[in-house]
Amino acid sequence: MNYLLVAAILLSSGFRVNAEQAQENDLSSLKKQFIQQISTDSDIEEGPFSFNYEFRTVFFSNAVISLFGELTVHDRLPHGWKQYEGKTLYKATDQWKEVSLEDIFPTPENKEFLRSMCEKILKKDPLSYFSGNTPLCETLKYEDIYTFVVDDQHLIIVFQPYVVGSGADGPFVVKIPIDTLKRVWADSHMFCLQLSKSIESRSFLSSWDLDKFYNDVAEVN
Amino acid sequence: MTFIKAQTDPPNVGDPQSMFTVQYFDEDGNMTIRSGGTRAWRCNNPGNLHRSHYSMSKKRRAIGFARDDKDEYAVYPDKETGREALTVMLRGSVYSPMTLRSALAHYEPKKKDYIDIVADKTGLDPERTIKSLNDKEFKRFWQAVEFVEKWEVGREDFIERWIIAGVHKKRGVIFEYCIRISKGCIWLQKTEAIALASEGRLHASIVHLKNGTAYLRPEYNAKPFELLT
Repeated sequence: MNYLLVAAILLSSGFRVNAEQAQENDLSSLKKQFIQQISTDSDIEEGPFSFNYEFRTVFFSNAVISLFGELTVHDRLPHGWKQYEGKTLYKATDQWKEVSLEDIFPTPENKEFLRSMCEKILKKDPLSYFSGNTPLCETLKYEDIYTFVVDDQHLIIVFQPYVVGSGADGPFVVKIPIDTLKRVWADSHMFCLQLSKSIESRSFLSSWDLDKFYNDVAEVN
Repeated sequence: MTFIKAQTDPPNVGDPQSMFTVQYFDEDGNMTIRSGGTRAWRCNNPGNLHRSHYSMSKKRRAIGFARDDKDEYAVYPDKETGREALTVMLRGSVYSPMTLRSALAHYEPKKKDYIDIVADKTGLDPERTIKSLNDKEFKRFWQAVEFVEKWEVGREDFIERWIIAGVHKKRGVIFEYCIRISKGCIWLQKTEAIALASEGRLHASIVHLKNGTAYLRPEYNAKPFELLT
């Protein structure tokens, strides 16, 4: 089965996203923006220019689908720009709904747990802005935590370029084991229930790491 | 040691594609592999300049490029040459007429607070143009850019390319090679020497014959192997 095709069908069949996200993720607008940039503001010395978009499943089951998108645009020197996208959907009464971190970490205590856990892990990463002799950042803002995907073992928080580390060294990710989260997140939320059910059923495809993903599929077959 | 060529090598086991390693070659063919650290350090490219018409031009003296599955970055022989590529770009026709604010919005459109960090570190007015900065101010500016791009040193492994100091022959055919290594010399069988040469660890060319056998010969313009008795 072509999972990219499934993802495309899902998108075109219209799950709900808010207006701001729609504009930010609208590929047609982004393509127009790219053409406008290179035709008006970019210099011949900065080329060649390119626009790449990849969207793939990180987790795929009957009840939960998690997708990771990466937009890489080179339309200027020094390095163009990137944007990461996470979309996680769950099935609720025969309809696919998108889940946000707000849904599964609704209370201030939940949010603080998530923030401090990410901060603690990032402080151990020598490439992040939180480390080194003169760290650029000392405290992680909760507002910077919004892009995420799930696999069968982790909630994977993905940070946008230049938020917690240089854009060239990303994506910076923090993987939090789902077992740890069971005691913390909104366990009764339909997404959490569906994810647990999918993992228990062992009927899923899952991997954040694309190479490992194909290896796993080969071994199962 | 002057590096004259560089290329991408796969990441270490367990690392993502973005953590590719970079192989540097010096004039003697020795190899230095950089792994870990930031991409800026691995590529000697403190401004994180993509592979482009500008960054790969002769004047900028890039010695190669390194890539993962999405991006390609210029690789320079040393930090100073990489820094020169950054500063010449900032002083060039695209960036120099811009204010610091608009230049950094152009440099990295997604990092909205780039200018705040640079203004905070340098004390420069974001509304000044780059061309209005004197040398000292300009230095503070590019140092702040390098700070945000992040330069973190990783691990360097040096792999020496050995010389064949002599050979042993039996009935006119070479069967053993004397390899000069840093602590002296070792003798290797022909097959072992060919295996080393195929990994690029020996100064020798491999000649493959139609009958499937192979032998080593000196590199182009090098002296013939010396027969030792």
